[in-house]
Amino acid sequence: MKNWSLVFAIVVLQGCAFSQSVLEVEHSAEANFRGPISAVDGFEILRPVLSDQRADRNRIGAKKNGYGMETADISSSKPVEDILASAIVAGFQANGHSLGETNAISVTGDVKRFWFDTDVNFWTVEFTGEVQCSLKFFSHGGDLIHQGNYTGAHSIKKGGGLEKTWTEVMSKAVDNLVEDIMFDEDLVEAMQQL
Amino acid sequence: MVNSFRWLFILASLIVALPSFATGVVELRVKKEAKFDVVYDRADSSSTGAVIGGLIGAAIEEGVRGSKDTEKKNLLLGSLDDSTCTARIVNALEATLLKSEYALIRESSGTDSTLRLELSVRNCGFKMVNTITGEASAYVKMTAELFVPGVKKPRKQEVYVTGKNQYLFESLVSEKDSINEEFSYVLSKAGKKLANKIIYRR
Repeated sequence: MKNWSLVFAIVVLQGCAFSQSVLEVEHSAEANFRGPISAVDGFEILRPVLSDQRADRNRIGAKKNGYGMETADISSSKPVEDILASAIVAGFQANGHSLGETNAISVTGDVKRFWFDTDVNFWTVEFTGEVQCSLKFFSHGGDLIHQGNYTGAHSIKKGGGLEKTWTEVMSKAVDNLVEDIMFDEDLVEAMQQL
Repeated sequence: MVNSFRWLFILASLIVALPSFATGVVELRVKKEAKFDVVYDRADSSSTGAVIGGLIGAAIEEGVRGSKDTEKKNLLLGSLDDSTCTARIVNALEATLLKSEYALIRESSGTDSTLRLELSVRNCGFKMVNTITGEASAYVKMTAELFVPGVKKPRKQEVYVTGKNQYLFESLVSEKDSINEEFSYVLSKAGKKLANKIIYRR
C-alpha cells in the first residue's frame, strides 16, 4: 500500500512538472509607488497602449527539472501588456495623478521583456523575475514629451517554491518596473515643463 | 583688512558647516562591498552532479562551474575600465540626495537625530538572466537599512537592478564599450534608486 502511495505521489508530481503553469501576475495593491513624479502638479493620463514585442510571446518562463532541462511552459493569465498597463496606471494614481478621458497625456510603448527564470542549485533555488518596457509620453496635442526605457527585477533564493512563489516574484518585478517609471527624473522634468 | 579676514572666516565656517544647512543629513556606513563577479555557468546550474555523485558530485559540479565563471570574470575584467562597484553607487546616491537637499556624511554625526543608512552591496557584475537563451546582463544587488530617529526598527530596502540590454557572453567580451556603459549604468541607477527610496519613503 505504501509503495503504491509513493508511486502515485511521484506520478502526480511528475505530472505537475510537465504541465503548463498559468500565473496570476499583477502589481501589488499595497505596493508603495510614491516617487519624484509626485512633485509634478496633478495631471491626467490615458491608459497606456502597449504592444508585446518580446521575441517569445507565448510564455513568460519555463519549468525545469533538476537537470536544468525545460519540461513545460509558464504563462500569465492576462496578456503582459495588460498587466503592465494596469500597473503603470496604478503607479501614476499613487503619485496624485489620475486616469483621464480627454486632455490627458497619452502613453504608448513596447513590452520588451517579461521573463521568469529559475536557477536550480543543490540546496536552494533562485527565482528571478525581469520586466522591461519602453514608453513614449505624448501631450494632448500629440507632441512627444518624453521617452524612456524601464526595467524591474526581483529575485529570491529559497529551498523551493511553486506557483505562489513564482507569482510573487513576477508581481514584485512588475512593481519594481512601475517604481522605475515613477523615479524617472527626466520624466519629472519633462512633465514640469508642460 | 581685519574686517576682510573676519568675513572670510565667517564664510569658511559656513562652508564647513554646510551639511547642517541641508534639509536632512544621512549618515552612511558601508557594511559590505561586493567584488566584481560573473555568474554565468553557476546561474545555469542543475542538480545533475548531486544526482550522479551525491554531495561530492554536487561539490565537484559547483567547483567546475565556479572555475568557468572565474575564467569569464577574468576575460571581462580585461575590458572594464573600472571594476569597482561601491564607490560609483555611493557617488550616485550622494548626488541624488543632494538634489533634494540631503547631505551624505561618511562618519558618525555623534547624535541620534540623523538618518543612518547601512549599505551592503551583496553582488555586482554580470549575470545570466535567461537560462534558456544564455543571455546575461549587468546587475547589482544590495540591501540597505535605514535607521530613522525615534523609530526602533530600521526600514530595510532591497535594491536589485539589471542592465537595459542582454548579451550572449561572446558579445560581452567583444563589445568593450557596451559592457563599460552597462556596468556604469546599473551602479549609478542602484545609487539613485536607493536615494529616491530614502527621500520618498521615509
